[in-house]
Amino acid sequence: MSSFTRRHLLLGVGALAGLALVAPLLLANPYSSRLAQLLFMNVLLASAWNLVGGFAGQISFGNASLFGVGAYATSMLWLAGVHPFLTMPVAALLAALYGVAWGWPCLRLRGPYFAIATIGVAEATRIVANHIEAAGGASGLTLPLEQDLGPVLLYALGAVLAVAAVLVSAAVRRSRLGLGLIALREDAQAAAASGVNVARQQVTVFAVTAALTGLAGAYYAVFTLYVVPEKVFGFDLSISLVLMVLVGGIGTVMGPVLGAGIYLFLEQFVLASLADIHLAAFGALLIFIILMEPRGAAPRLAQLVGLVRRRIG
Amino acid sequence: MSGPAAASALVEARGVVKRFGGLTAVHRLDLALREGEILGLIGPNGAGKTTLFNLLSGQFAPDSGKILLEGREIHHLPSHRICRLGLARTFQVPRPFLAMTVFESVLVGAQFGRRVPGKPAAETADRCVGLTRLESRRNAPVHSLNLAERKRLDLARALATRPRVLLVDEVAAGLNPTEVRETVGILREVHASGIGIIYVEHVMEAVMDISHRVHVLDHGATIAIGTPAEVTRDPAVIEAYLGRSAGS
Repeated sequence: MSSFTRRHLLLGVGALAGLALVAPLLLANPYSSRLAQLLFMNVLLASAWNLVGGFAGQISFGNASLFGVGAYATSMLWLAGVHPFLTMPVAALLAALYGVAWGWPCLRLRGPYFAIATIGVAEATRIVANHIEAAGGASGLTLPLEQDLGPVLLYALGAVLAVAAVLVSAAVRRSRLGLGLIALREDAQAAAASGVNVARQQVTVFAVTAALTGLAGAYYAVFTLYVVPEKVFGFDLSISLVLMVLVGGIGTVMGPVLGAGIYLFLEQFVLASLADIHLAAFGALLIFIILMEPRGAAPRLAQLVGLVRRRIG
Repeated sequence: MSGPAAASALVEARGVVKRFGGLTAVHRLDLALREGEILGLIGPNGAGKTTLFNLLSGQFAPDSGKILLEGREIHHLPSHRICRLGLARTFQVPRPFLAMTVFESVLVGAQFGRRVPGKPAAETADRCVGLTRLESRRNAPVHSLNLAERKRLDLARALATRPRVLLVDEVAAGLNPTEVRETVGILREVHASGIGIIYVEHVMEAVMDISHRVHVLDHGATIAIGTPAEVTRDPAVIEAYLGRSAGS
């Protein structure tokens, strides 16, 4: 099993070329630029969440804790004079370390117990962040507006990060690690009896999830130029990731991409008018998906593509 | 079991005790699987057979006593380490990875089990798929398999870890006579390839047919050890299975 084939690389390059082609459209005005940035960030976040949530079956409601670490790492280093690009590896590393630090004990739990533990960790992180004066406390940090990278560079950065996250996801899916994760998701005891080190596999993939989520936080900081604990460590963010992946198709490579797009569309065009009750609306949507289409949109879309291919071929 | 016999034992349990609350499931049990042997393990329901398998394969740790694999203490090791040292198992109720294909499931064992240099995992997996007569279902999703196929898949996955010792838990239960014969044939082939087997079974024709020795448990303790012919004549065994006759 080669984990990273030439075909993947070609698809990645193709995706980037496609994104470069549509760039003029998306960079037409500040609003569409922002939509593109949010889409890239969502793809990155949802793909990262799906590594542990979809492949290993460990549903995390605490990824905001990792996002926030990345956002703050980049903000604080940038304010200290480091170029934002150079802060990103640091943001990824710190988020991965934080993820391993709490993932290592929490991933010993499974199912709802793990999910509840992640809420606890993320909420505790948010409350602590609110009280760190060196990081601006509850009022957060404002980044140097005059050093804004500009829409073109932000678009390119986002596109590269998003495509890279999908490629990482595809590589993990096809690797020995991915096989072990799906085995332990299906039956942890049988996986262990077949030689799978359940604890280590989960912590390993969670480190990758955390690093990518930290990168998303760093990206968020450089395009919004403003980080505040209530936002970057917020529970809303954690919930939105679960929704994106469930809408798109959990445990698949393309599901999170699809879900990230569907989520952004709903958030911007449908739920904007329901601002006060948007969480309730999302809750209703979640229940609808779980009851009607628990595998999400990706398998249906694959069916449709297959149907069209047969018609044409 | 100690002394010279212990030295040649592939797997050995010495004075193993396992309690669940007030219930003693396994009580000071000594058991040995010799090199090149198929050891039948029988006993009435609740005798402690599956608990013993869970102890040997590391699902539970014993409350006291020792378990040795090829002379090495393993009772403190987690399941995956024991598997990688060469002890694999099947489950009484098969535990398939439902989201996978047959080949992928077996590949899990091949990729994560005991490492043998120069043997590609995919090759090992295919050999085990073939050995368990699952070639025609190689790329089928596991959820489409029937009970007999799922039992053979459990066996294939365990074999793919390249074990020295295989624990087989009721692989013939619930199968029709043709399937039982086929399964017994597979176990003979496994044994012929140099793997020691401890075989828990209620289907007597299967276990008596292929076991070199039979170890009989009742209430977590040994009541008889001997050849199949010996244990079936043993009064203690007959009593455990059928009860005491009214006259005696």
